[in-house]
Amino acid sequence: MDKDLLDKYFAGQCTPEEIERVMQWLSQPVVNENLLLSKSWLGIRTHIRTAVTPPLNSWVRYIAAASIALFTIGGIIWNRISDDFEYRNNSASYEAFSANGLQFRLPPHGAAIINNTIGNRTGNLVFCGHVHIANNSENDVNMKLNLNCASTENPNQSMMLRVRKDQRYVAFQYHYKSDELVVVEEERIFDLPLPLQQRALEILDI
Amino acid sequence: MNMQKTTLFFLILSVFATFSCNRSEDESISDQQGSRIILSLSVPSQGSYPFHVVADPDSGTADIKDSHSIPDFPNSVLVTAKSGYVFLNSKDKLTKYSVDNQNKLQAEGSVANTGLLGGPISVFLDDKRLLVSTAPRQTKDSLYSYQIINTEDMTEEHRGKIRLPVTPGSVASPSSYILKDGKILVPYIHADEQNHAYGKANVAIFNASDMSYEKTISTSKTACLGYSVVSSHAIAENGDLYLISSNANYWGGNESLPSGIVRIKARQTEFDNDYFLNLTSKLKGNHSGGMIYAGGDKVIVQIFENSLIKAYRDYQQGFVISYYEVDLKTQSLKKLNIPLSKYPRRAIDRLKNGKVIIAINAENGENALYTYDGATGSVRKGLVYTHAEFMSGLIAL
Repeated sequence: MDKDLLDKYFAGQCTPEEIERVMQWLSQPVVNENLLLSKSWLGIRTHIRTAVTPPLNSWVRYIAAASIALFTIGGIIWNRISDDFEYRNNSASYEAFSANGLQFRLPPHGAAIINNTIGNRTGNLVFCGHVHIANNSENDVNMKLNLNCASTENPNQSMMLRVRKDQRYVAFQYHYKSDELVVVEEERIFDLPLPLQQRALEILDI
Repeated sequence: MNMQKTTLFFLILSVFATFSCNRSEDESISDQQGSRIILSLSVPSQGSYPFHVVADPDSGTADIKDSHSIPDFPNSVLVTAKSGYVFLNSKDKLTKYSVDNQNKLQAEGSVANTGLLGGPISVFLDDKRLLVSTAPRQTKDSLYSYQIINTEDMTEEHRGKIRLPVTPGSVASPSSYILKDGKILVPYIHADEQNHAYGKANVAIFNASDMSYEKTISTSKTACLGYSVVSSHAIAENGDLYLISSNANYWGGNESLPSGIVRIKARQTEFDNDYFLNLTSKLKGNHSGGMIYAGGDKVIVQIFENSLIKAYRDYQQGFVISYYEVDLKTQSLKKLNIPLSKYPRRAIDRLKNGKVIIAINAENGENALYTYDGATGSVRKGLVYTHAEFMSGLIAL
């Protein structure tokens, strides 16, 4: 086959007659085609073998295996300890729910976010009305309580509470000069002054 | 002969000296016994609420590590004390405790109670019979349970209910019982549903022999008499009864009327309309809390400093409480030179030696007892209590 004709063919510049000649040449069998193909594949395989990375030594293999194992175990542990929890009460009534030993009864539109990290379990409660908290887990939990129904913001509408294990609390909104957040252990309600005590008793239905 | 006289003289002198010393020690012991108190302490961050019997509140220090919790009843509540015994209320029972040589409480007997909540109110009818109510003190039907307990053997002698007169839609809250001339006087808050006391002060009167209702007296000079478990009355040596109003927003919630002291004369069951000590006008708009008798027609009163109260939580957690000496006869006032304190509940009592003891939880973090001596009108710092977040109550033993 004329090399110039092939170049012209691949350049798309052939006449119909020239195209017909090239097609006829391409359709003809090549002499010793199988031999040529086998030689070609042997060359390719040789090229591939020479390009492969040399095998790892045993220490590297051990470290790699250990790393994979650590990543796998770490992932499982992280998945378990970072069991963050978020709950929003979108119903029109108070709803009870629990998360890892913490139990809540949240008012409508109330929200709870519990973050679990190693050695430090924290939470964030946002609510309007009142909320019951019971900690039946094995650890204390630091929680930030926030009133979200107050017309104006002031420091008395949020507070940090260490929710001790095996304790129950009630937190509620009380309006004096402005809305305030009151929190008390259920067993210490008698510590409250009478107006707050009465409110707590109503909430607990005592 | 001279030798004999000299020997006899020294013998007599030594005997005199010996007896003098003994009498001095006796007086010391007597005085110490007369000043013993029980403190209730609060460490809420640890959920710890122990008690501590203090032999000498006039001096020294005491530490929370030497306090004691009541086994199985960590949330027991102080009720009263008499003849060295302490009475504490827990969820189901009222228990009598003695105090051993190490000042630890030893249970001596119990009786089923009428409840835990609400702050127990009580009065001894005589040396052994205790009138007590331990149940919640606001009920929709205005009926309040009481017991009469024989404290010698801790048995219930009688149980019943009293009804306080209220109007529909309102509530009543009885305060500490007062025994006067064979009557039980019950100051009570008559309030609307938001717990704001109406513009008058009431005292219901019952016959002490059978707790039958006799009448209710009212005065419009102030609002809200009765301050729960906190002392808010004084009986003078002549038998006149003085009551202080607790209409501050902390308690009665009606500051439209002044706080002040009213009087019911001895052997009378009506307010003395000629007597009213207007504390609010004398104290630039402040309102009152508790009151304790100090002897000689003088009382110590607890005042909330309104200018320091920005939110309701300041009443309970802010350093907003000051104390005044008040002369009931001359109506003169003198501010006591002690720090502002927080937590007003059960912070004052009168010792058997006649002095008034005041628990001060000061802003500088120091919790200390201050002693007011009615004989001299002086006040001094006594025992300093360490490592309690605050002192939440005291009773003289």
